[in-house]
Amino acid sequence: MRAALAVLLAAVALPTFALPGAPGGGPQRSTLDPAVLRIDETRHLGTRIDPDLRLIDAEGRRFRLGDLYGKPLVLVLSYYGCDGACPALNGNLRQTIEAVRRYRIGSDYRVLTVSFDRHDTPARARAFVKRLGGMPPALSAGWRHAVLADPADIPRLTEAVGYRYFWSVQDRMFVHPNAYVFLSPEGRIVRYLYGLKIGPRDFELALVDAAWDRIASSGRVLDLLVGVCFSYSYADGRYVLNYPLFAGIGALALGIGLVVFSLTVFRRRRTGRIGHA
Amino acid sequence: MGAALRSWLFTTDHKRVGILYLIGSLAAFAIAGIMAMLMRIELTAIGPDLTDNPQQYNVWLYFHGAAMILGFQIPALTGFLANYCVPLMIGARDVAFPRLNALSVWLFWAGILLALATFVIPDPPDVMWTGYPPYATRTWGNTAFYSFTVLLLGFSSILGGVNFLTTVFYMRAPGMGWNKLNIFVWSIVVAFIIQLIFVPVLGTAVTMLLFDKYLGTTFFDPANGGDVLIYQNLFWFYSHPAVYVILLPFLGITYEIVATFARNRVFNYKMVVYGGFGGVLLLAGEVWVHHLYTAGLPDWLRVGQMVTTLLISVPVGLLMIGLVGTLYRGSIEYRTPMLYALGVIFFFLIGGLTGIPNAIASLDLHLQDTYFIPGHFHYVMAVAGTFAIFGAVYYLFPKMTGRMYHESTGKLGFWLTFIGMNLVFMPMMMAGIEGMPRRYYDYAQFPQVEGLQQLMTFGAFVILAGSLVTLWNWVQGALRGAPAPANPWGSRSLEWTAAPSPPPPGNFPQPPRLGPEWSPYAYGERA
Amino acid sequence: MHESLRRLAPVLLLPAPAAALAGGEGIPDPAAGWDRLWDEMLVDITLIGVVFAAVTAWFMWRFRRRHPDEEGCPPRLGTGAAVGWAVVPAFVFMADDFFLAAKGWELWQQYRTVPEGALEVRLDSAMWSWTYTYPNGAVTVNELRVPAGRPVLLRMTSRDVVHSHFIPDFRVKEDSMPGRITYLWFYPKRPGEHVVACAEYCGLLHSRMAGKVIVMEPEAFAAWYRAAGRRADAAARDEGEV
Repeated sequence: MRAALAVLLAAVALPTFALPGAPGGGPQRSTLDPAVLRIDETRHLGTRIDPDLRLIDAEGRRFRLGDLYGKPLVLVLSYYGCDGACPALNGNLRQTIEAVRRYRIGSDYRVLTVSFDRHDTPARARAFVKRLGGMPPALSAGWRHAVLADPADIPRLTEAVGYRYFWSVQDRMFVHPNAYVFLSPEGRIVRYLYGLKIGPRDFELALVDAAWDRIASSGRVLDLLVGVCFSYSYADGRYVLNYPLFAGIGALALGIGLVVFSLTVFRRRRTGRIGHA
Repeated sequence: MGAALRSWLFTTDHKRVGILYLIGSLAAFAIAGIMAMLMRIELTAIGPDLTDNPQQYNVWLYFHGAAMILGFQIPALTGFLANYCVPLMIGARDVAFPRLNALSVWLFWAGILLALATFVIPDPPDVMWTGYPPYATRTWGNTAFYSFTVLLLGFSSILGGVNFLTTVFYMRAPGMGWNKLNIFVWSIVVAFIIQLIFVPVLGTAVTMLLFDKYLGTTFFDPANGGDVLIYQNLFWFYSHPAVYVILLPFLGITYEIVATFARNRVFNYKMVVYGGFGGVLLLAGEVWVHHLYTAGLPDWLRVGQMVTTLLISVPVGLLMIGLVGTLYRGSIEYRTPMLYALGVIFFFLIGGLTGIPNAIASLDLHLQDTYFIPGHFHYVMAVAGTFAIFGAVYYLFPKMTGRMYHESTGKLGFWLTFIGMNLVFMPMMMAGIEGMPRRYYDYAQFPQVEGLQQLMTFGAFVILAGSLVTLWNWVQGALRGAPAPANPWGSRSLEWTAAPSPPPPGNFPQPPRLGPEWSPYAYGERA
Repeated sequence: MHESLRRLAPVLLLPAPAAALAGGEGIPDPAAGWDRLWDEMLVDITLIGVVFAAVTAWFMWRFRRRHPDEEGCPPRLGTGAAVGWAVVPAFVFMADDFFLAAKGWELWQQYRTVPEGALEVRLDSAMWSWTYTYPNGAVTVNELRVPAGRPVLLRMTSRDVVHSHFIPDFRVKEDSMPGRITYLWFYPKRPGEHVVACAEYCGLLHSRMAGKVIVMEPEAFAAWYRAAGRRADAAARDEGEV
């Protein structure tokens, strides 16, 4: 959460608004409490995003959101007129995806960038992709940049993920959170990761979380082990080692060691010697 | 007087250490039993009966659970019985490390005293014996007393484990092969292997709990990267095997009593030891998830451990067959210890069979955390275990004190407790099927179980009466009983045949000599 | 927040139930399955218990001691008999185990397969109350109103400690935990009231953390649901204006 706010503040020009309680804010200057944009995670985690939302991607293909289900889906809310955070958010995601080795985009998971700006069109999405330097074929198979077919659906989507944003008149830009939303193969929200600096490890772990039920039932032991070794920290917005697990494993090793110790270390002494010492 | 006291407190004699364990664990039993009585009175009718403060009830319940398991059952079985019987049964003069043994009984007493602090500190722990976070880290109650009690008793257990494994492995009388050990000795070996392997895990879990509550770490705090469920997993990873740490010794001593009073060989010895004890040892660490069937774990884990949990019935069933088979073509004498041993068979049968529905994940979705669970585990562990301990005290009474208890008073005590236990725990399971959740101070939502609750309270008073009769019988017997011969039961086991009652320090006047045909169960064949 | 957003929310969160529901036929009811399996289980364990107890009782009577010096004269088991006495019972027990595991697994699948078109309600538990939030924003405390004949899915989390949402009449419970999402579903068929209890120890008022599931006639529920949704909208608007 803290990370999210930091990025949020970086994304909008700082001088244009004052933090609550900060001195010097004139009456005409807008005052933004960053907390209003905070995604209330516990409220939205587990929500199933309507699979019947209809979308059009940059190449003009029409599809349902549900068509992308069946694999973990990373949802990125952006707007294509953005020249601040959104290109960075998408560009960073691209670098992250290229750095992720264990999962392949397209075959293991999909990514969908959706606009929340009602003025966006497939053409603007195409321009946005071009501005980012185009999509290499390796990525384009599993990553679509899309707009909702019916702009009236936008609030349905943003409300479902708890995404709040508004148009800042002074700055002529949207103020919005920078979040990647990880959906399970059934389309339920599993994890939010924030910011422009998530690493490949957090990305992989969130994918493990998103596909947990499938991984757990398919016997992908390595994924399973990696999954239980980490636990998500809501405060830091990233995964941290699940220390109690390692402490427990260490304790178990100690216990087995104690048994071996009691059975072997006195081997050299003769029965009678101990008995009548 | 002072010298006598010192000679007891600073003793390194395994028999005296064992009796110190017995006194401490019976004290824990008595106080935890009083807590049970207070709770039963409180629950007699809907609404406040004895106290209008649920916190008070929660503290009683915490103490009852923690003290009965950690302060009574485990120390009475692996402290008192192991100490008293194992060196005598294997023909050793003492345990391998007598001073370590004294240290472990002191740690045990320190743990008991720390647990008793519950009644004097201003914010006593109220975390139940399970101590789940985040409640345990958020409560006003003093979780530290819980953690330190567990740590002290756990450490005491570890010392006991190292000591007894070494003793049994290296100090058996010459000629005593592994297949000639008493069943009880085997049960102690397996129980201590389980205890040594798993106790450190519990110690780690409660230590991290302590750090979370008092030092601001976030091991179990989900907001800061902790994992709520990992504590429950670690806790039950120890605490389910802990059930076997209790179960195996109490079945072991029941085997001794049954073999002695049926004057019969143990039925299919190798099946009991390798199939029964060995099977439990193999499965002990793979069944803990059945305590977490409703905790949102992945389905494959719940269903997988449903199968392993059900498979526990195989070794446990073999242990039951061995026990009942030992009666076959025996010559059964119904003395008080034997009544208790048969009581163990009866209770364990009910407790074991009612465990099967709990093992099935889908049935457990209703039964989990209802009165059915305490009903079941009291039958299988608390009642059967307590009967085994009471039976063992009666069985060893002539050996320990050199005097006989009063037979018909003993039988009266048995029948009172036997009836009382059924009056409490059978209705408890029935209330659980009605949906009554456990750990409830009041049950206004469940008026249909009020009648059952009253029956349980009545039963609790019957148990109280039976326990008092038993205690009185022990005190009377120890002070005024008729002198006991070395082997009043006609047993073939070394503690009866080779040592006088009570055995002197060093146990055996002459080192026991075992012929090739010797066995602790050599009945029916004149060797 | 915009009023239009609020009004659109139910469309998003309430998948149309009509097709999937078709009169409630074909939806397995785990509660009825539980009762059936429980009865079978009782027969199974009673049978084993009675056999064991009868054999024990017969041995106890038949082999009682008749003279003080009498000793048992057990037959010596040969190797074959000894192995047989271990292996045969082991396989009998295992057969029963696997039979019960299969039965249990079948019911488990019912418990874990949420039917299409379930009414999805969010549950926040906190010391010591249950807060239900409906798809249209309606909020109730300790009172879950649902229509008869439609499965209900609870999406649960906790604000503080571990609780367990237990509805004895529907034979189901599942823990709600901070930082994690768990699910529970049940199938209310007829109008009526059912007790909700907390089944995971949560401190002082654990036993008073009681609620109700109120199953209503579908029409009555629809009317209540609309009214409660309007109230929630109004409350949200007021909040937005402040």
